[in-house]
Amino acid sequence: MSKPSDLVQGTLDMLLLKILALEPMNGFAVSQRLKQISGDVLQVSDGSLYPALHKLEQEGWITAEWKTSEKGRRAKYYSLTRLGRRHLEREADNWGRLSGAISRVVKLKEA
Amino acid sequence: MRPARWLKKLSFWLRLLLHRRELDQELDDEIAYHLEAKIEDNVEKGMVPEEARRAARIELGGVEQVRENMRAVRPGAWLETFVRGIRFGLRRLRKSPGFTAVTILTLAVGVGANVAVFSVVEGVLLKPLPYPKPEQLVGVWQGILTQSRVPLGPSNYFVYREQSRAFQDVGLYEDDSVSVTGIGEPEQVRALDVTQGVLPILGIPPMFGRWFSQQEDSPGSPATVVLGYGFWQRKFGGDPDVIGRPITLDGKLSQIIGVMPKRFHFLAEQDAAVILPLQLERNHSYLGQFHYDGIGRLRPGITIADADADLSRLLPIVLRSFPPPPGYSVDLFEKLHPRPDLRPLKQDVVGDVSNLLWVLMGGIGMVLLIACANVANLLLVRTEGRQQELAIRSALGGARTRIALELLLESFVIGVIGSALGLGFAYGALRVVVTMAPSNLPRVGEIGIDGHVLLFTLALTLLVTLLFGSVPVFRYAGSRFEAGLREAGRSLSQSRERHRSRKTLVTVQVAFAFVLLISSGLMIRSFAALIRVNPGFFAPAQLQTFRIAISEEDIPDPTAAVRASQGILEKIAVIPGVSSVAFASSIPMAGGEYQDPIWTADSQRPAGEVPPVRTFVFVSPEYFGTMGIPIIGGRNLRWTDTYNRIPVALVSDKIAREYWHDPASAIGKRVRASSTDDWREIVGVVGNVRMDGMNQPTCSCLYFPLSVANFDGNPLRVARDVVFVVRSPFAGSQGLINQIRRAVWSVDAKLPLDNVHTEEYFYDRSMARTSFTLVMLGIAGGMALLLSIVGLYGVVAYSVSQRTREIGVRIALGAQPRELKQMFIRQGLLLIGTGVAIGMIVSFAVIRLMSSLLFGVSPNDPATFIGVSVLLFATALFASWIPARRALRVDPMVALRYE
Repeated sequence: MSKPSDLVQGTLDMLLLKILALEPMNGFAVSQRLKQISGDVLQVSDGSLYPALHKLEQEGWITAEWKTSEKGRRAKYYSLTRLGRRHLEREADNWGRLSGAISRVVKLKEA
Repeated sequence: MRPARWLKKLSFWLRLLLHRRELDQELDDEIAYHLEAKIEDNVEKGMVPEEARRAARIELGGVEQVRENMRAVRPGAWLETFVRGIRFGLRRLRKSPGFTAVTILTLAVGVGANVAVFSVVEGVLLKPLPYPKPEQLVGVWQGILTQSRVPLGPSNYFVYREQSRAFQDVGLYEDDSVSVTGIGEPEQVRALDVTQGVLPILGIPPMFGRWFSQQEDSPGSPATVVLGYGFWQRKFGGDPDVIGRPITLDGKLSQIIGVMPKRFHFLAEQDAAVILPLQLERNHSYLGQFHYDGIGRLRPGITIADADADLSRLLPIVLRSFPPPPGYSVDLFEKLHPRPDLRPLKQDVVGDVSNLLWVLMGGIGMVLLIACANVANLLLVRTEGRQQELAIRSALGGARTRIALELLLESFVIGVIGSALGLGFAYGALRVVVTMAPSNLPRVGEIGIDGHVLLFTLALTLLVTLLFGSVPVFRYAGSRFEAGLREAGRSLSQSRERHRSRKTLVTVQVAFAFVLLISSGLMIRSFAALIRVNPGFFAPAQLQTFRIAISEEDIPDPTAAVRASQGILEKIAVIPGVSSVAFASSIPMAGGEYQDPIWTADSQRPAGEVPPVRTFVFVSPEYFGTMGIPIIGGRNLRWTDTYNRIPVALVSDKIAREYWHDPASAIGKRVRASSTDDWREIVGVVGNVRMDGMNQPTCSCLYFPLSVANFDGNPLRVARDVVFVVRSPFAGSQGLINQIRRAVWSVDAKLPLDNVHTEEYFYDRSMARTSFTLVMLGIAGGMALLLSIVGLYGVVAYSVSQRTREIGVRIALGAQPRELKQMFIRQGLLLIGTGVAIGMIVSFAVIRLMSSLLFGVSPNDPATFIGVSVLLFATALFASWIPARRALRVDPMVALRYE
């Protein structure tokens, strides 16, 4: 996902929100977790990660806080807001419907 | 949901404004942490610390770019970019003060001139008249036979006013002049005579007091007067207690009933000192007497066409409601076929000056375009210098749009600063214009920088910025940056294309300059032709003139009044330095002529039709000698003709030829002004005079003695209101004027002198419009020439400096320096040639638009075209020669090494 298109950007937002729904974490941790969970299939480029996170923050779906990490350094920790949770549920539903429909079409037996 | 988002955005904005640095620091901190975490991760995966660092960095990508992307997502990012762009632009401009100064100054002059001219156009042509609901105001005239814009008579007034359905009210007005005595120095002042309805029609209430009542506008009621603001300030010191006080006008006591406010201006006329009721007498009104100007206010919703129909309906009623003057028949008036002639009042006020102003606007617009072309050229050169930098930025991933925006923003800064300065220039220029404007430029008092002008300036700024700002953007923010990187290296010479935009700009400039110079040249020739016209009299600079009016209260007996004037004449004649003196009812180009139809006996014109209108002048016998008008045939008038009321007349050469073929045959023929008059014998013929201006036909004038019996329905008519002409080499000097004043007052101490000017003043005033146009267009043409030459110089000089290596190679290969110099000169001449050719084509099409301003020269005058072409080629030669000489000094060794 080096240069996200519109469709992919929306999907990226949803993925980031979901990861933050699990627990609050900083940006680096989010990208690591995404890589890990998806088995290296989904990777966010560092250049697109932070702009995306900041956009989500502006929309009010996540909120940020500066904390000292375990290693003793300052980092920005993001967490999901109630607004964000509701948005995530909506998007997840939409995604489910969309991907289900696509799967059905793709799985059609060819004559 | 929604409010929360907006609140968040707002808080972001605030943080951005107040804590920008902290926000930026946070970005950096976040990226720094990420990098460190990445490096640690890599090390844990087993990489060597050096490799780990490198890998992390590569994965992050360009740090600056990430930062940019993050910043771009912030709310108000666009504003940030904008402000930053402007700051960078300003900094860059400060680093090259020469460039900045030249561009800003060029723009300031171009924009300033345009704003100034537009202010004039706005104040004179576009702004509505300063009265309430001005679109309802109409100038009421009539058409008679083939003449239009003929004034009205009292008969029209009474019928229109009482019976019109289209007008709220109708009024008549007339210029007048009265003497004011009893308060300070006696003066003769301008007055405005109005019927009762005129002031209410205009709708501006008096500052103190009230308008005239219908009672006061009727003959026989006590005299009342309304003061003008300026006169009230001057004469009464702004005393608010003037209402009810008496003032002596023309020897009669009048009561002041009102004072008009400062903002009240009566149409375009110079402000009258006092306003008086016209007091038309219904019982003594006849048909005709067409010498009052008319004004009306339409009812709401009524158009001029409706009013026209309404008045057409009333005109036959007019003919039936009033008797014809003695000696005329109703039949005659019917044969005039009178018809209404209505014009929107603004058109009446503005007159025919609109053509002049639009021509000026067009001319000055061209100067602005030329200035923009110069600025665009300068910007191109500058951007060319940055080509390497821009190429590298683009190669490193800089967005093309961002670079384009930056270039545009820099132009925007120049544009705004230049225009702001230009606005300042315009303000100064307007003050000059208002003082030196020709006196017949209407509505001068309304010229100023108002809201519309500011809007215009804003629009002009944007347009101008886009115009020259887009030029470098198109040229360099486009593709082919690799070419940019390559060419900065060791290429041999400039690509042809590089120069094309600059050459095109210069060619366009030259074309515009050509058109402007042609128009200036044509104006110069018009002016020269005007000056060469023979006015018909001699040396106007040596004629001192002034007006006096001997009122009936002062000297009731008509003969005594004439003797008094003659006495003044004799007193003036003995003043040292005075070679001759005379007086008359009107003098050339000073206005105020008496015009009426004239009947002739034994002439070749068919009888029974309404005779055409001619100009009558009542003169003392010395008039022709003093003015220098030759007597072609017959004899002069004599004082005995006046005192004995002998019915004689002199006619101008033009009339003699028109009616009787030649001057000699006119002698002995008879004329009269109405059919009940005595016949008057023509005893002499005099040379033609241009009464109305150098560009108008000569006068069809008849000259009569000062006192005439049975003239135009009057048993006895004397000229009480006369203009003196004094021929002296000291004309215009205060010394002579004082001596003349003493002479007048020695005969009658209460007589004020009015309109004290030399005849040259009136002569200049009649030429004022042409000379004003000439000066304005000349300035524009001069500016255009200067700017174009500077532009051309710039192109050639730049070309030489860019092709230095090529020159070096050529010289090393054996070319003569002189040949190279000629090559550049040829280049310059080619540009000019193309520009001149285009300019010629445009001129042929466009110059005819100003033909109404020309006199004695055709719009396609070959001499002017040739002259301007020669001028442009000569200056082009000069502008190309200087930089081309530099090609001579090129040292091939240095040139070949030059990068």
